[in-house]
Amino acid sequence: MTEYFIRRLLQSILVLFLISLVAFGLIHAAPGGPTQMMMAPGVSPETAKIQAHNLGLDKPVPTQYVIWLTNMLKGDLGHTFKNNLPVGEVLWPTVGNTIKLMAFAWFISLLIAIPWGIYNSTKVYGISDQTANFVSYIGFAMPAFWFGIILQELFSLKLDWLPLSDMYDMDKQGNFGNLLYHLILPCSVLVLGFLASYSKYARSSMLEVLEQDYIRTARAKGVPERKVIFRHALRNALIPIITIIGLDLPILVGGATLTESVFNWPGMGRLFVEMARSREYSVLMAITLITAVVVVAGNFIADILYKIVDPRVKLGSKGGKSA
Amino acid sequence: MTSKKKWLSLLVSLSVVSTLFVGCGSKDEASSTPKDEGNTDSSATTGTEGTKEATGPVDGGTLTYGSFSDIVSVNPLFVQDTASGDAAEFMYAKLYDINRTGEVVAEPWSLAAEPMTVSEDGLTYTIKLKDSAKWSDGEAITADDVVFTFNSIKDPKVGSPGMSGFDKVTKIEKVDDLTVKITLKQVYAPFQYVLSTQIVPEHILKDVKPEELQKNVYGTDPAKTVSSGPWVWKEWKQKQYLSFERNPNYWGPKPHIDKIVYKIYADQNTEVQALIKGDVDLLGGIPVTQVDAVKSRDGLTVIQEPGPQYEYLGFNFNPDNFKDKFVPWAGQKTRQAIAYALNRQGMIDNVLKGTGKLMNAPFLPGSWADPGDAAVNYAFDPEKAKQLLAEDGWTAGSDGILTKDGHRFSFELQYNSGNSRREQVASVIQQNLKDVGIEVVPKALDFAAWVDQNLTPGKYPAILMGWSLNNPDPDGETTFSSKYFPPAGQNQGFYKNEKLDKLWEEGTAVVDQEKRKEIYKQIGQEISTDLPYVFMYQYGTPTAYNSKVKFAEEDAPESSLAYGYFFHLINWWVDAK
Amino acid sequence: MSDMNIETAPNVQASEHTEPANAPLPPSRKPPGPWMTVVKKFLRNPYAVTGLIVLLFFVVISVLANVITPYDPAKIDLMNANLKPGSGDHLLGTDELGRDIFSRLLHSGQISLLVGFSVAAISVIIGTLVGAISGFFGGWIDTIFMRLIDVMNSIPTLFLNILVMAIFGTKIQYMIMILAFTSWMGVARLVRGTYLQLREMQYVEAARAIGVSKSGIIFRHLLRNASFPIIVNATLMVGGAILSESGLSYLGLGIQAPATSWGLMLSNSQEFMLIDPLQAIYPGVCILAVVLAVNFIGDGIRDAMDPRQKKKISRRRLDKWRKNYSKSGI
Repeated sequence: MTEYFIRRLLQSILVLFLISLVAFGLIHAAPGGPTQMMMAPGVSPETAKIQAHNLGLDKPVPTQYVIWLTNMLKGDLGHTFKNNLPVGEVLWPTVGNTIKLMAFAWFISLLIAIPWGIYNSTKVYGISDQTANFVSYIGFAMPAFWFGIILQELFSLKLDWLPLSDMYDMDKQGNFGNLLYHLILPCSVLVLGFLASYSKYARSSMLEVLEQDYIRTARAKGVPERKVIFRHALRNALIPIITIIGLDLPILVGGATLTESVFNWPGMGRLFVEMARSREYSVLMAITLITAVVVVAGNFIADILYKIVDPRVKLGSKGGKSA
Repeated sequence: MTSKKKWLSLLVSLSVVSTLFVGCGSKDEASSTPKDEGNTDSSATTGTEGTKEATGPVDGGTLTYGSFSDIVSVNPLFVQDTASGDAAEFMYAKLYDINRTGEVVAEPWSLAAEPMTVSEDGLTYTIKLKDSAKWSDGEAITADDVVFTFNSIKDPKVGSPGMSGFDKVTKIEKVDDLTVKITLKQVYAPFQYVLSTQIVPEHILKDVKPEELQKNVYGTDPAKTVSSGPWVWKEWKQKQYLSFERNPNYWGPKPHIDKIVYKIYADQNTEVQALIKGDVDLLGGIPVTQVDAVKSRDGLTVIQEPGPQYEYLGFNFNPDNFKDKFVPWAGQKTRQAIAYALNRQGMIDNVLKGTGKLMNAPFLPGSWADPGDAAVNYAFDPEKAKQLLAEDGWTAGSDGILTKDGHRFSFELQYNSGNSRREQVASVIQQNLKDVGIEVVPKALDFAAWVDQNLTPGKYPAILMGWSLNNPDPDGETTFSSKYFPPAGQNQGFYKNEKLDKLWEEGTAVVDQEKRKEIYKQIGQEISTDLPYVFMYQYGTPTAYNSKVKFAEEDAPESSLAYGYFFHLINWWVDAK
Repeated sequence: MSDMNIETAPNVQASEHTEPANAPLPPSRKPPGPWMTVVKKFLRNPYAVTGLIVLLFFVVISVLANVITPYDPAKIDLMNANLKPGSGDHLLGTDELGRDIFSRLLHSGQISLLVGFSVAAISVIIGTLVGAISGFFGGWIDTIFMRLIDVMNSIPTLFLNILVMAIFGTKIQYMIMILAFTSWMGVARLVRGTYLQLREMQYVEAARAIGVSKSGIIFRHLLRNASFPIIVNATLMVGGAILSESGLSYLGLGIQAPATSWGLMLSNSQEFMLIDPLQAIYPGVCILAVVLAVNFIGDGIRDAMDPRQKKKISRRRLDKWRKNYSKSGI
């Protein structure tokens, strides 16, 4: 077990190291290189040189990489090039905003998806089940930003029921009720996406449980169906549902770039798009690396958990070596 | 269109020509009259600057402005982008202001006490400051601040984008606490506009090393950014909003508006929707495609006057940019033929929805340097174009495309992607030229990369591009003179015309406006005949505001000036809710 | 889930809609091959058949765009701008530059479908190569490829797409390439898994014992066993790529004018909502229809395939969880 733990840990670190190389390399492979990307046109060559020196862009690329990585490890995400703001100061608030949006959407989705999926497992092929099926197909096939724009047009501009965009009204900054009010539309877009898969998870997980022998035994013994579902099946089905869905949490960190853009939500995804446009690559690399850390850590924890629970799980790459 | 508008803003802020322009005289009264729906302010449209009618302005309230980009730094030494420039407009008083007709004047809210004095020989400028002016921390604004600011801009170690404006300056001297004297090495008429600038506080920044200035928190930290204008910076929520409140230490006429919120949106369409929804009171950049939709809404007024910018089809004359080093438009007649073949008025009417004006020379229509009829106007005339092309030796090839000495007349027209106007104009150009036998291959490129790789080094065959003029002087030497070839200058098309080279120099070497006018008339004539560009039109970014925003007629937004959508903002007021 | 991972293949299983394939076959006939069985099962699934018809419809009208509509999609006709649907020969009217909307929709379909299919094709090629090489050589080569897959799976795909398009420029070739480079991992895992599975099979051992080359056998069987799952994967990738293209175009990092795609047409929908909402609806409906169609087809093939393939990995994982938890008595 310890050996597995260490090997898996080393692998995760290797993956993170490779990601840092990819992120750094990609930006330095850009035509013209980062120095040119950062400079405003019209700046005289001498000024550009001075600025490049000020920003440390005149050092060899490997040196820059080492400096950058060391700083990252120390928790120093660097500064933006254009206005020398600490990257953390720019980044962390947007991470918080994204988490607010995603956590809310995720929570609502679970609240709807789990009972719905469970209900559908008891009435397979019923109207509700067919509807769920339809919703998941639509959820997968609809361009999210388009759905958002339609909702905005309808509920905000035409009917004037809901706010158009942003997190708060200008005069109600930090007001929780106001936040909830602003969350309704963007969350609807995200919930449609989440529902598509979560109600399916819940349904199939429940169906598997219902096929088990002990359920049949219970039914054969004459236990009322309601009791079979709620007492026996539900308890056993819920644990895997919640665990599997919980493992999706890292995805939340990746945010909802398009939804954030449509609803002017000041989140990490929107920041990434804007920073990609203005080529603030210290921010870009920080975001890429942070999301990667969360995803890799999530996978690592999941694998370790599986290992603890089920010793039969083999290390992914072992199959190749065993031949 | 969507979020791509950022590049447009970049474009506006980065393509700086050291040309100056006078505001266009013909104002569309109908579109600039204040909105007065049953309000008492209709009587407040007369009176002089600074005076308030008893029935008119009310103090208090919040003005919300919509922007589609966040600021970089409001430090006036480093402002390069529109958003930072907007914020600096609220926070900083200028040494001199520019009035509606484009003259440099000392307003009650300018730091200078009186108009600048220029010596007989045109080489020495003397600036007198108001003795009442104070920084927002209570310190007096003195000649030291002015000298510090100008020396910083001039210092290459600082890296200020305004550096080129000071390259003819030899000496900046403090005469007394309120007087500064600047000496130039040669007469340079546009210099007066260089002096219409914002000043930074010496007492805050004097200990910062020049090369560290750009990295300093001054300009990005609201609490530490001491300023001189009617409003001070309170808060910056990145990607969300900036807020400004009345400056308690303000020394000038009291502004009516209590608070300004500068709201940041993801893109231009979101912004327009926010205006319609009422989340935003004033909006500076409405896409032309949406002007009609905005106008049709109750309570919204749109100002459609074109602004201080023009668009052009730029030719490159450097043979290295072409296959077999053959420059298809080496002949003047070919360039003229292209000008005749383009339906410029059609583009203005349909693509720009009437928000543009035809241009034949690099001088804004209606400005004092506008050569008017002296410049050749190329009315849409495909037949004439064909005839000129034939005269220049082009003959129709087997595929209908013209050829000359074995070269097909086909060229790539580059423009920046995401700019819907340019996209559409490029398509019209492609079609217009196809009709006379020229093949155009439009190519959209990402703005930042395009500037780096094509514009700055002058590596392109032809471009569809615009110049934004951040002050009203007509000087265009750095854009058209052969002294300014890339990489040093902005003559990216390697255009060379000795007659023009000389005229541009003469144009800035006299201070007298009448004499300059004569020179620019000759330039207009020559440049519109020789055509380094096909000058297309003056265009604008329509501004819209809702019925909450009020101002007297003489304080109405002025499209022809940079930041003209905040013209005399200090005199505006909002309907307090 | 979120639009972050719109290119993930749907987890939707349409198995409920397939009737049990127990139609009796006349005993005299030779039993049909696996392909025939799949085709038959597929054709009995109404959803899958509808999907196929819709997809074929869009493919045909896109390919024949030039024949169907007389208008050049990029042809600007300022005299006939903003025409209402049905004006003259303009079936859906014209846009603000007088371009025929119907013609633009058809030609957009060409680009969108081109992006969709080429991304799927390239991903399948990359994935199959990587999976086969990984399985065949094993050892450190396998380790490297598996870590590479981990790396690719750990960077949010949309971020990577945005980064590449913003830095290298918005060329359609770049877009197809980066979309393919971020979606081959599923196929690679699948091929590698099948390969490893086959290697342990007894008939492979047997074949080797009688002197047939092991790798020859494996590759033959590999193709036979993995082709359907690959096809399913590829179909779903077509839909994912079309959605990704629209997302990138919305952010201004996708297809650039004068070329046109559904995503590009849709990217202006916020603007059109104020002017002419129908212009925002058409391309959205096209995307929705095509992506639905390919998802139906993909699910249809999966259901029609070997029942072994019906069980998805997540279900197996769930199963394990369930067993362990029930054992531990929670």
